[in-house]
Formats: sequence, structure tokens, C-alpha cells
Amino acid sequence: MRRLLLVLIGVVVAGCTGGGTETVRPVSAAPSPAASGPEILPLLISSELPKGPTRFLFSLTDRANNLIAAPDVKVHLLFYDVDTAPDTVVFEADARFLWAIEGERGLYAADVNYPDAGRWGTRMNATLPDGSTKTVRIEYDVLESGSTVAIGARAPSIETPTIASAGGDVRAVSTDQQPAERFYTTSVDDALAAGKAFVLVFATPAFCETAICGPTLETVKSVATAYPDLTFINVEPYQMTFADGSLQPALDASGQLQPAPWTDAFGLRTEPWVFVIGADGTVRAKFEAVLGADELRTAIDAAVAG
Amino acid sequence: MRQASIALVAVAALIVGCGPATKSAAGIVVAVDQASLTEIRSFTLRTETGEMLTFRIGALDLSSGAFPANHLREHMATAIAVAVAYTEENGERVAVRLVDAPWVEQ
Repeated sequence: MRRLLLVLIGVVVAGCTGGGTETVRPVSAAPSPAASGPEILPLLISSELPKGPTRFLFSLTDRANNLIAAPDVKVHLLFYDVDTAPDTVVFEADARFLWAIEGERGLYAADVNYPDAGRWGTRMNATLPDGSTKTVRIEYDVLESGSTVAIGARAPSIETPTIASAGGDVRAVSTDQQPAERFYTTSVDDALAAGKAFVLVFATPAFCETAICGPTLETVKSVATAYPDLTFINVEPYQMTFADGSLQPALDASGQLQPAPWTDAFGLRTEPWVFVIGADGTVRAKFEAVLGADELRTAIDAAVAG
Repeated sequence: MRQASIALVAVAALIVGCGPATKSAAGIVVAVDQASLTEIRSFTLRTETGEMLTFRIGALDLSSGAFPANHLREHMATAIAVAVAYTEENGERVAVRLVDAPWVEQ
């Protein structure tokens, strides 16, 4: 059945492309000629890797593009400063597995601290469930600074929408179908002025461009129940208008979504993001894309402790 | 049977906007060049043969199950395959339509 299906797809797409052109070929339909080189291949997920403390987000596939990342595949990382000593390990880290789509697909995160910007390399040593090991090394650029507010930098003081500022209707500030109202009672500038730690979530459950932003907000909501006195703020990353009882994207002249002012203020080029901000108003931790409840709890506890 | 249905729907969605000069490819997203939250400049696909293909984002046809360029990051984070219909302009691949590629065995 599967072979028949694959042939059928090939015929259908070939009809689309016309004679003699490239076609979509199902991965499993033909042997992969990429039979040499590393047996595992990296995917660098982080949209930016700035100098200093940051979160290294990555995944692993095999040569046929099958996902290898899994809870029982452990990965140890070795980091090299390619510009100075390309074969000398500068620091190491164990990666932790995170579900991107619960129970289906995941990736890895590691907390790292790059001492310098420039060309860096990372060797990923994966131990598979049968005890065998696979390894691959990648190289990439570490930036002098990223676009998002850096860990240790002051969070921008900016007014963000609340239920009160929006006229008392939570639907005017959230696209969450089951909004936690406490996430929409404090503006970011007021939270900073209060001088207490808080958590800021940029995620739009209804209009997110990724299937992982809804679950990210849900993870934060679940963690928030254990911190009843802590301020949590969810902001929609895109400009919205309230119409017919719900938020709708405010599209530009070309029909595209537009970033909200607070999204630009925090320098976001992707979403979702979660920021943990300390009582002194500085960013203590930040999480791009996928977020584990444990790592958020750890970051909150550290921020609350001072 | 369900998989077959999904694949056929996806392929149908891919080709709806195809013109005679349109080509196509499939693989996983390994890089996204993003100027801002809403401006995706280009992305790179790694095909099943190990080929790395970079596509500039053109005027995307979003009809019939196709997705916007912002969606590419999710595909990269989850290593879910993407099929792209594209044209070639001055030796450059220009993506005109993006769809999920669930028929790619993963």
C-alpha cells in the first residue's frame, strides 16, 4: 500500500511540474546516495546565539532526515572556539530533551555561556538506547549581541494591554480560549515598577505561526499555579484589533501580520518567547520556542531568590 | 489508509497553484533567514539525498492548505518535512508555495 502510495504521489507531482523538471520524491522511495559522512545530522534551532549566557537549542536527524531526538537518546556537547583553537574543548554541557509536540516530536536544549563572539564549533555526542554512540560536529557564528534583550540586561519598560486597559473584557487582550485572567492584569511597565520578579510570555494561541506556541503558553500556565503570588504576563506578539467579540490580526497593506510594539521593544524575530525578569528589572532567563516546565521552575526560583 | 488520504490531500494542495514553470522539492528545514518576526527572507531545505537547497521567499500562494513562511520555524524545530513549489529566477530558487509533506517517512 505504501509503495503504491509513493508511486502515486510521484506521478501526481510530476504532472504538476511538467516534463524534465525536479519533482517531490518521497524520502523512502529511493536509496539515499548520502551514504557517507556522519550518521547523524544536526539542526540548529536557536534563532540567535549571542556571546554570554544563552540557550543552545538543537535537534538531530539521521541521513534520511528521520528524527533521532528522543527522551532515551542522550546528548553530550563539546564546544570549540574555532577562531582560536579549533580542536580544544572550551566547555562542555549535557543537553536535556524537551517535547516540542508532547509525546510525538522533541528537541534538545543546553544552557551555555560563550566567552567570545566569532566562529564556534560544537561536537554532539549522542548515545542511543542500545548503547551505541554517534557523533557529529557543526560550526556556526556566535554574535557579539543578539536581537532579543540579553540575559542580564534591563527589560524594556513598555505599556502592554491588560483587561482593565481594554475595557474589562479578557477577550480583548488574549486569543487564548481558556485564558488565565491573572496573565492579563499587569502591564510590563507596572510590573517593572513594582520591583518584583515576573514572567513575560510572548505567545498567541489563536494566531501563532507555530504549533509550539500554544503548548508553550499552556506550560507556563501550568507552572503558574504553583506561584500564586508571582506576576505572569501574556502578550500577543502581533498587532491585534478587537472585533466581533474576539481579537483579530491587524494586517498591513500587503495582508501580513505586524509585530506589536512590545515585540519590537524586546527585539523578537521569532515567537514564542518566555522571559523571566528579576526584581531588579533585568532579564534572568529567556526561552525561545520550546519550554520545559522544569527549566521554567528553575529559572523562576532563581529569580525570586534574587 | 488515513496516511494515504493525508498524503493525497497534501500533494493536491501543493499543486493547486503550480504553473508550467514550477518545480518542487521536499525535505526538512535546516535554516531560516529571518529579518523580523514577519519578514522571512529565505530558508534552506535538506533533501533526502543530502542536497542543500536554498529558497528565497516569493509571493506565496496560501490557498488550499499551504502555509505562510513564518510556519517554517516550527518545521525546523520539529523536523517535520516540507514540500516547496518554486520557480527559478536568474539562477535563484524562489518559493511560491509551501505545504506539509507528511508522506515523507520520518
